This record gives sequence, C-alpha cells and structure tokens, in this order.
Amino acid sequence: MKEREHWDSRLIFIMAAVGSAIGLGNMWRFPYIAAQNGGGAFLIPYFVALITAGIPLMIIEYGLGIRSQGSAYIALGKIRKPFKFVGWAAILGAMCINIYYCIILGWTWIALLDISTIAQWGATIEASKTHFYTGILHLSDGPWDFEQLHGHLVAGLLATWVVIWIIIRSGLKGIGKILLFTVPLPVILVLILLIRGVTLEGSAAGLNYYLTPDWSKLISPDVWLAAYGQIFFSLSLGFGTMIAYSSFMPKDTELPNSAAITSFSNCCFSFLAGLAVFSVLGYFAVATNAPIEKVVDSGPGLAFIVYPAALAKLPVWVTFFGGLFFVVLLLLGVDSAFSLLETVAASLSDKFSLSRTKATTITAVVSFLAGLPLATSAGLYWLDIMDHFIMAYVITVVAVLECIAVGWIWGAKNFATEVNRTAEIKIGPIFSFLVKFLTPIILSGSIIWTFIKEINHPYGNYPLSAVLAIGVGTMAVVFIGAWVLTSISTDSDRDYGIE
Amino acid sequence: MKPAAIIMLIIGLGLLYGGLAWCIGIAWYHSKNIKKKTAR
Repeated sequence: MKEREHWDSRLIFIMAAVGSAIGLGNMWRFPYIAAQNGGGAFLIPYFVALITAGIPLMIIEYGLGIRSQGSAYIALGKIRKPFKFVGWAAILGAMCINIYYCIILGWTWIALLDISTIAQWGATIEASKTHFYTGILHLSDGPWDFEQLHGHLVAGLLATWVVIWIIIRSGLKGIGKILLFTVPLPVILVLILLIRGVTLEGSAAGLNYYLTPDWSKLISPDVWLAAYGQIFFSLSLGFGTMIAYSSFMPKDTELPNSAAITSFSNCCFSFLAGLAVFSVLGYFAVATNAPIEKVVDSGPGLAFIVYPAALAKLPVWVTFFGGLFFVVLLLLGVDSAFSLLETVAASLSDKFSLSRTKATTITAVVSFLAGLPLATSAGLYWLDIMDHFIMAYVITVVAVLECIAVGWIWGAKNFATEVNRTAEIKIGPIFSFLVKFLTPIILSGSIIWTFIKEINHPYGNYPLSAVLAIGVGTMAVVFIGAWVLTSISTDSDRDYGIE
Repeated sequence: MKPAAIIMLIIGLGLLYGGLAWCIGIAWYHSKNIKKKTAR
C-alpha cells in the first residue's frame, strides 16, 4: 500500500473543502431559490436544513474519510463490503458531474474572451440571449439534433481540463498553494460586485425582492424540500469528494467543528452572492423599467444572459465588471472541478495502485472525451438531463445509503464515540437521531417525490427517448460501472481489508 | 429598503456569519489551549 499524502494543515484541508463546496450553484442557484421560496423567510428553513442535515452529513463524510484513510469505496467498504458499490456509485457520479461541469467552465472562458464587446452583446436581454444560445452554444432544437461539434466549445472544454489536470497533478502541496488564491479571491471579487451593486440606483428593489419575508410560504412542504435540497447539493455531499479530501488528514483530526466551519462558510458565501446578484438585478429592473420578477432567473440563464445584460447597463466600467463577474465564475468553478477530478483520480490510484499523474491523466482524458457530446449544438439539453438524473437520483441515493451505513450498521453511537475523542464540539443523541431518521427520511422523500412527478410528466418536457437514453442511460452507466469496479479484486483491496 | 427586508438581512448575517464566527472562535480557543498544555 502506498504511503498516503497529507494536507499541510487543518486550515488547508478546510479551505479545500470550502473551495469544493462553493461552486457555481452558490452564485446562480441559491439567490433564485431563496427569492422564489419566501425571500427572507427562506433563511429559516435554510438554517434549519444546514443544522439538521448539512452539518451532520458533512461530519459523516469527514468521519468516513479520516477513519479509512481511503477513497469513498474503501471508506464504505470498511463498514460492510457490499457498500463498496455505493462508494463507486458516488465516485462515478462525481465523474459524470465533472463531465458537464467542465463544459460550463468552457462557456465561461468563451464569454470572458468576448468581454470587450459586452456592451453590445449584453445591450438587451434579447441580445444577450442571442449571444449565449446562438453565439456560444449554437443551440439546436432538441437533444437529438447535434448538428456538429463546435471548435470553440471543444477548445473551452479542453482548456478547463488542462487547467484542472495541471492543478491536480501538482499534488496536495501544489493544490494547497492554489487554494490560498482561489478560495479567498472570489469572496473579495463578489464583495466588489456587491459594493458596486448597492451603490446603484434601484438596488433596493432587488434586495427587497430577495429579502422581504413571505411567512405564508413556510407552511408549504415544497419550501422546506427546496431548503434541504439547496443545502444538500451545494455542500458537495454524496459525491465522495469530502471523503477523498478528508482521507488526506491524519486520523486524530478534529471533525464536527471542521464540518461546521466548512458548511457555514458555504452558506455565508451563498447569502453574500445573493446580495451581489439582486442588488445589480434591482438596478437593471429600474433602468429598463421592467418588473423585477421579469428579470430574475437562475442557472446559466442568470450567469450568461440576465446578469451580463444587467452589467452592460452600468454607467461606467462595463467591461471591468463584466470581466470580474466571469472571473468569479471561473474561480468558483475551478475549485469544484478539480475537487471532482481528485475524487475520481484518488480512487483509481487507491484501487489500481497508480501514480497520481497516471490516475489523473486517465480520468481527465476519459472525462474530456465523454464530454464531447456536450460541445455539440445539443450540449445544453444533454447537460440539463444528465445533471437532473445524477443529482436527483444517484447522489441522493448515495447519501441515503451513507446515512444507513453510518447510522445503522456502523452505529451512530459508535461513530459519535470515535469522533468525540478529538472533537471540539461533541456530538451525541441529536446527531444519532438526525443521521438515523431525519436526514435519510427527507432525502428518500425527495427521491420518491421527484420520481412520482416524473412518472406523469417526463423531466423538462423532453422527449421520452431523450430522458431514457441520456438520463436513465447515464444512471445505468454509473451503476454498471460501479458494479464492475466493485467486482474487480486488486492487491490494494486486500491491503485495505475490503476484498 | 423595506424594514422587513433590513431585519431579514440582519437575521441572515447574524445566523450565518454569527454561526461561522462562533465555530472559528471554538477552533481558536482549542488551539490556544492545546498550545498551553503542550508548553506545560
């Protein structure tokens, strides 16, 4: 068994985990979800979800990684051997996520290269839509209409993979140095955007829309599910990433407080990003004389259409703030992308005793090639379907099974006893209740709810053939791949005691 | 800004940033204690 690398310090480990958790979703999903689900009142279910699900799940993943000193399949396989399958499903899920995540970063490179003309292509929402859908994506009419592979999208995808390959290849010491730059910098840049935003006329309209509480929404189960979903997906849980990152820490590392710091940092950034987004959107709504509800959007629509159009309306320094925004997206995305690459590469390295360079290169090349359909005119549809099926089913199922493995098989009490030996904040019966009952029940409820909805109406009104081939097909690839990797026995499995 | 929005802004900052500060404070307190114990 190879000697395992270690992070230089606990601070670097927490920064790595924070960098992985804070991604594009914090900037483009949280503000929209909050505004749509009760505005300021959403903070209550969001905070409750953070305390009752986010932090306990983070503690579980840290505990699994630190105890096993190995990747997700080793960590879960050490509890019960069949759970190796769950670990591999998480790892291959992470690989699929990275396949489409990197194409988004590819779009960001392209938008950044176009930044000198943002005043023209962002002049109106319509112009911005044309720039994104036609200029960048060359979007076709449906998921089976590929048209062609676009050179600029392939170049953007390749640039992203080369950057994250170089970072991961540099080893934990190199990653640690990069994190000192890529984690704090987006926070500073978002603060600059926020200061610019709140000093604009009309920003209050956006902030009112974001923060004014609608308490009546709190009785809706959908709002609570949205809060739990937002917490769960934004903390990078169920991907095996936190397990892989924590496996690079010594066994006596403090867990619960480190998990709480990571989770709170992620939520603090989301809240801050919401202020920066809505202050600028409020200005845009007033400047264009449009109701704020009409200009609010989420996902790529916010990042590549509405927000650039809003920035293009700034009185001065349009190019500077436009460039700054896309640099923020790149920095947020790169941390998450290389953490996903590390998750897969570290697992291959553990399983087949490969060197870091070899494991990273194999993962990057395979993922890049698998991402090529996303560089065609049908790429956005494929991305959307893959994202939905991986997140709503694969990752959520993995998280439920992690809770069962730790809560019921290892035993929440045994886990807590082990963790409390080095804990700054002790965990006890409440943690046991959350891990054994509340979190798995809520996550299972979310899976069943989504499934029932989609039995009646295929996801996103896509043709059934596309949903089955792309969505269910991706899930099948993950589960069959996990089964194959679980079945292969290696010397390393014997060394880790999970053969 | 509306008063209700300002109150929620303060609550949001208090809950999230207060929570983060509290956790960092605990980590800082423990690191000081460990250093003291090691020095003894």
